[in-house]
Amino acid sequence: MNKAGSSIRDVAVLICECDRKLPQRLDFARLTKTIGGLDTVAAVTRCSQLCDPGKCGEAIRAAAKKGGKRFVAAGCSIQSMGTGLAESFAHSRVPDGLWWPVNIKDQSAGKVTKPAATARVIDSLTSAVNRMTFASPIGTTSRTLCQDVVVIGGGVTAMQAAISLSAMGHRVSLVHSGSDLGGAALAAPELHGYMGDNPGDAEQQVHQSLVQLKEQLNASPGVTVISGSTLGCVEGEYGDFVVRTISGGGQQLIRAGAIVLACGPDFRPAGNPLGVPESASVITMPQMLEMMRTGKPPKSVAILMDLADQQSRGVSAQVLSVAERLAAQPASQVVVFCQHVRVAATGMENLYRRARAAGVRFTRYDVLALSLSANSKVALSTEDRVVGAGLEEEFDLVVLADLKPGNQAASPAGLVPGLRTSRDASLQYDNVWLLPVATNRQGIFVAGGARGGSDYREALTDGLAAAGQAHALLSGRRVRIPADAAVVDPEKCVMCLTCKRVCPHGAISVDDEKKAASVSTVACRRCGTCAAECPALAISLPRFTDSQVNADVGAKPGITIFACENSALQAAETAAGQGYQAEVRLVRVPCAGRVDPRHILNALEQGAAKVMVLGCHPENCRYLTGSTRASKRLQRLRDTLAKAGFDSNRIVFGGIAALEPARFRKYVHEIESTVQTGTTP
Amino acid sequence: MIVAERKPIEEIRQLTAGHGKLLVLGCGTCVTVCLAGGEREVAVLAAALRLCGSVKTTESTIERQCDAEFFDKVRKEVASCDAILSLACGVGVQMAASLFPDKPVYPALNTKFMGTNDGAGEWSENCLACGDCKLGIYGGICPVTRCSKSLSNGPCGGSADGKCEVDPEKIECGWQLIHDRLKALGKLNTLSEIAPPRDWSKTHSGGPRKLSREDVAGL
Repeated sequence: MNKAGSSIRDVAVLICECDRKLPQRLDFARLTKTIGGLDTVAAVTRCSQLCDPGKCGEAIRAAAKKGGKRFVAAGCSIQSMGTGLAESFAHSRVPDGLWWPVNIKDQSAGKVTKPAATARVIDSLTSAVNRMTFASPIGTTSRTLCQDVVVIGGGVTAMQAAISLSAMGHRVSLVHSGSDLGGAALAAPELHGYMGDNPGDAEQQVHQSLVQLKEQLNASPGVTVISGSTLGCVEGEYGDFVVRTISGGGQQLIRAGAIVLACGPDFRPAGNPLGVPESASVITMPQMLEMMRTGKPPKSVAILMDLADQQSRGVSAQVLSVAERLAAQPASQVVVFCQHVRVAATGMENLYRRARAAGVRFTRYDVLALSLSANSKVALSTEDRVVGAGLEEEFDLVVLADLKPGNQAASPAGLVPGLRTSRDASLQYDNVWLLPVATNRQGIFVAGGARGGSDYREALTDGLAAAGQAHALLSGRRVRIPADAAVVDPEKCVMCLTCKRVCPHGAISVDDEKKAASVSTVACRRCGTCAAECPALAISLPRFTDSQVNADVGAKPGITIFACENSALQAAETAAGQGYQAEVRLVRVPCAGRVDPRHILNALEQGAAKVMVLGCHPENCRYLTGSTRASKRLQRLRDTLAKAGFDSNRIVFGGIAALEPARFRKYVHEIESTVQTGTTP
Repeated sequence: MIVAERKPIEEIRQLTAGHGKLLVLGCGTCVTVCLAGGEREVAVLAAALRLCGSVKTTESTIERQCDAEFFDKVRKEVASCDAILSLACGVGVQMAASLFPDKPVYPALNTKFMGTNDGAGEWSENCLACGDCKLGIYGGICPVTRCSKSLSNGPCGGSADGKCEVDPEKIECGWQLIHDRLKALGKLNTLSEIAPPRDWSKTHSGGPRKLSREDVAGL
């Protein structure tokens, strides 16, 4: 299984002396002789510093003269050498894909004898040479990026994004469903008490800001406001989206390079989990607002929140704003029943203090019971969690403040193919790499309410952030795309849709003409999850094909660690640089999600004592779901093998971050300490 | 599509015990799509068997194991193995057995049902191949399959909150679904007509069924 690909003698190995440091650690004569003696190696060339473009270029040319066409560049870490090497090889007209970096500097660091370090480096260079025999050149294509941006939403976030994009030279279509711009702030300026020093001031601030935004928007060149329209669907990909909008008058198609989803979430009153019959005395927050505007609310009011679920900071802001206003009436009695008041935003603590000063009482409850009295009052009985005492009180009015996500089917999430959302109403998948405003889909951004925000100032900041990121993505107008995206073999594809469903980035669609799945080269992030899941083995990932990964595993691998290059590999290199030399075979993968059960089984069949897959911590995987998938895949394989009597502890998954070399050491210690002598049972 | 899942590996090992050389044979159609018997599963199962025993394996996947002609590609491999471990549905396993009378053929999968793929890694049963489709009357929801009792004239007393008493966690009451859908379509009145007893001879209850297209067959 791990035989060489090409048998042509055209691999050149460039070994960096790292300014004479490495010859002190490594036996260069033995290295040159052993590696030079491999069947496919045409030349072993020493270079005093591979990170120096001039010296690197010289070494490449010298090796090429001896017949080198594919190159192994042995030097320091990929992070240190990466960009410089890429430029040097490109300058020497070595196609991308025909060179591969190996970190020999960290491998020979620390307390390790020269012969041992040399043996280790020979081993990894042999794998790398073998790997290169499967290498093929990777071309590039380029594409023009449409500079227009569609912003969906009519609130302050959307307005701010449009203004900012216009200022950066983009034409913007602002699509919103209403007739007036301003969104939630326009509809209910009273609910933003944190914006000022008193209720009137806060409302005034919101008004002024809205007026200012509208003026700026009107003065922004290239902004088209499309009112009374909703999002129909999104087709295409970053740089070349087509947004279909629907209005009473029909449909409209808008071409765009990027999309900003700044539409507020569809939140509705959450209903009443206490099971109290509907009555004039038990109302929702919108009804309360209406009552405050049109009539005189009663004197004694209870506001209930956190009934079914813990509510967001946005609900706290609404409750505090309303409570402060109610308490301002003479002889009023306002009590907020809650689990938490969330005040982590500018002005919120101030608003809370003002509400208290105005006479609002806050009660943290464990159990809450409601009943209607005969005199149309509402009796509330509760146990105050703080003072531990039971309370029985009557109120004229009870306001249910909780919100819940509304109609999911009407959410833009369903209209943007492949968009991954989180469990709450946010259109942003819950992963730290996407913060602040990115989504799993390249070129589609979320801001403000669309990602669960509700704070006025944050809404503006989000609008700026989304505009900035969209601009950064589209800048340059053309993008060069290396042809190393996942590739589907249409002959083998059975159109099972698995790849489309598992792709973290929504990069896969079905090509109706080819009758096969098709990977977008601009949307694909090269994680390889699809290749590791395809049941027909129809998908491969250039640079990390099955043959290349298996070549890296090599023969007699010992302890094998498949290391995600975003986390584990960096942690391992740091650990090695700190002098920790683990007796393990490190196999670089772009994401733990690339690791196929077949790769693990191959390593075990080659004699690996243990196999470990180290990826990002699952909850913050660089490629969102890759690490989680890898761990689940491993669990299934472990279960299968365990039932066949195989020691499943020989297969381990671990989560790690790039800056956790200590965790890498811990994992290796654990795995070493449990290695038993002997091979397969 | 036919949906299947791999048998527990200990059962597969028991079945194939005593055979030194196995042809692990995948099927490229339904069971590839349902992630149970395609090229990947063949590779994983074969490697697992090799790792856990002294068995030798040859791996191959053909287009469809329910058609004899596709086996021509693997006749050589069949000849040189001790037994065939088929990752096809029960149909494919039987085809292999009938084609190679001298060769033991073992199933590596349990064939589950005909159903829909509800997303990555999830499937549901939707058709029992009763031979007399009445979906047109029932709003596109099959009472034979989706009702645990295959009732034709409304739900039984075990329907509560839209769930079936057989497993309220997992099974929706088929009749609730039929009712809701016909109501939404404004066609609830179709249910006021009593459906006559079903002709079960058209199902497998009438024995293994055959189908012959006069215009195509036998010429």
